[in-house]
Amino acid sequence: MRLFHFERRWLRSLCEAMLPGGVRPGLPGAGDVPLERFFDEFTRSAPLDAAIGVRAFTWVLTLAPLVWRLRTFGSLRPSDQVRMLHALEGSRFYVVREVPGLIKLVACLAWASQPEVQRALGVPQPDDRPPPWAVLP
Amino acid sequence: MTGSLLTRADLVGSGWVEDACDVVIVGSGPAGSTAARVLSEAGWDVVIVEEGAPFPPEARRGDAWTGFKHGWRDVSMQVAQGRAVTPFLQGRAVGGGSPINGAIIHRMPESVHARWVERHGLGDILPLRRLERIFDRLDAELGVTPTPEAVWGGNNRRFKAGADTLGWASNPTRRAVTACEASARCNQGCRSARKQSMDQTYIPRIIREGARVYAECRVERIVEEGGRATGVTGRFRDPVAGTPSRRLRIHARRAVVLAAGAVHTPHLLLRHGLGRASPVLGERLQAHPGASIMAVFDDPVKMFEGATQGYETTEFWGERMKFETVGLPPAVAVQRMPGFGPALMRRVAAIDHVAHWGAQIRATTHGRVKRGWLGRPAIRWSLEAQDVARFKTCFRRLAELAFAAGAREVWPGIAGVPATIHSPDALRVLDALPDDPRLFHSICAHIFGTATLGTDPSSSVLQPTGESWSVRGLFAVDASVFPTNLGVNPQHTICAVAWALAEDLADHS
Repeated sequence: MRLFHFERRWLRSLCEAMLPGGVRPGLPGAGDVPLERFFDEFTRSAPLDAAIGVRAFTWVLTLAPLVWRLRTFGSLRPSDQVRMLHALEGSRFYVVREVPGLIKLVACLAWASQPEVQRALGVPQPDDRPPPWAVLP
Repeated sequence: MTGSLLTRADLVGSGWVEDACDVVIVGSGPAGSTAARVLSEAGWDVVIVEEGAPFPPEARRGDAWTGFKHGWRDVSMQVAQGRAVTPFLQGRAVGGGSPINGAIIHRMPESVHARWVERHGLGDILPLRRLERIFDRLDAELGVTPTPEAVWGGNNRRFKAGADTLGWASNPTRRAVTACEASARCNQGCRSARKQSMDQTYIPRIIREGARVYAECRVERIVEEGGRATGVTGRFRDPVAGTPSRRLRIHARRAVVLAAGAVHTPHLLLRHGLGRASPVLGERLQAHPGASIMAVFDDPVKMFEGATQGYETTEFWGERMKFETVGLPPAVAVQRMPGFGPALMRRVAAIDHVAHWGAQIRATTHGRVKRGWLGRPAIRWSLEAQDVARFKTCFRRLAELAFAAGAREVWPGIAGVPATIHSPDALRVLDALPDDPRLFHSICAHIFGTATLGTDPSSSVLQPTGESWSVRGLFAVDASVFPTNLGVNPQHTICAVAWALAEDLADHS
């Protein structure tokens, strides 16, 4: 399964909201590293139900604010984005709580596998090359 | 005669790939590799068929995703459906789960063995003295030693400090590792090949003795002729994308041995139609579900250095609980941290000060494996109230341990509980919460049952020898044959049981 271009853009926007840059000097955020090709890598490699879950949850998170703010997730202010994610994570409904969790997993896998992120976190690296999916053709 | 390890790339062309042998073993994990080691030594001509690909040390980059993609089944996203969605973690590579597990070694607890003898009639086949003899051999061949202090690292040291303060009995974990480099990457695959996983030990050994290992090939069918298993057929596939290539047919003169694990062994048997003859096939799925906390210390912990799982306490084993350290790769650690946005990134910036410790319980919950969609198994598992209650106790004890070790704060990761707590008393709130498995994220990494040994064909799938009650020459030797879970990390017991059953197969065939 492969995400459409606009879905990758939506997913990237979610990742950037979850893992923003500029919090600590030298620690890149999700917006500072190449993520899109990981999304393809993930949806191609993961079981179909997980890949469908990522696609569905990307739609849910992106379009949910339309209901009460008439805006998509990407056009919310960063603080409102985070507030919305917290609200979903704290929901009393299990399925709703899981929605940001799966996207956070994808974000973390894509972001923390980057050598520059691991360097910034002080993680000793046996292999300093970027992962194959992060190398632009 | 030297054997070979063959993948799709070695078998270009079209048409069937055919081979003949004395025994074909399905699965190259600890059970399959150990059975192969014993049968090969006994002079049998051995073929192993493995669904996963080789995951050699030079391919192990050390990041979570590379490990998940090349070493874990379904990129670590195999799940069980129930009240909560529970990850059921299994390895899938040459060597099975051993290239990506914590290499933790425990002998089978005597009380569990006593139950296997008393309730399941396995005393004749698996007497304790015999198992102890096999454990001694395994210890020697796999380089089992307690984790040396030099490689404990901060995550393990703080765990020990907490246990000492509380007076809990604790010990460095015994592991199958030689000259550990303390890279904290057991679960992503040891890049320096210090872990004595099956791909580094028994598989090279059997290949030197002439065995053929066909990797990247999923066995689809057991061939039966006249009530006797005579081989298997399968298809080579890209292990991640699933793209099919050539077909494989193995003719086995003496036995077909299944060692595909407690999910895929029963699934193969169900596909073969054995469910009609064995109503308990796929039932009694048991596991050791695990959950964890993160603890934040004023001094650096450096979770990314040191033995991944180097310290443990079995103080509460009698209450079906075991606590141990679990070093996480950065991606999984950040995912496990609470929150989003700048608050999360501030926590991430202090990741050097974070420890991660887990609990596994010897659950009494039973699940099942069924035939699912698209030729895949479906796992049903719903943690029952008594096990949820055990987890609540585990969280309290883990928090107690962390604060005793000097933690400044703890992130329990439980719905309905504050994301950050500053004393173990804060978890009193758990008492008011229902015993609901959806409160927290648990995973299952040790899976048992589903094709159990026993003396009664109505309540077991296999004879005590591991042979099917209804198909001659068809054996299983992996954790699916265990009548109960163990309460300790199972690799050693899996190897020992496979060793014993393979020894008997060689002696009596």
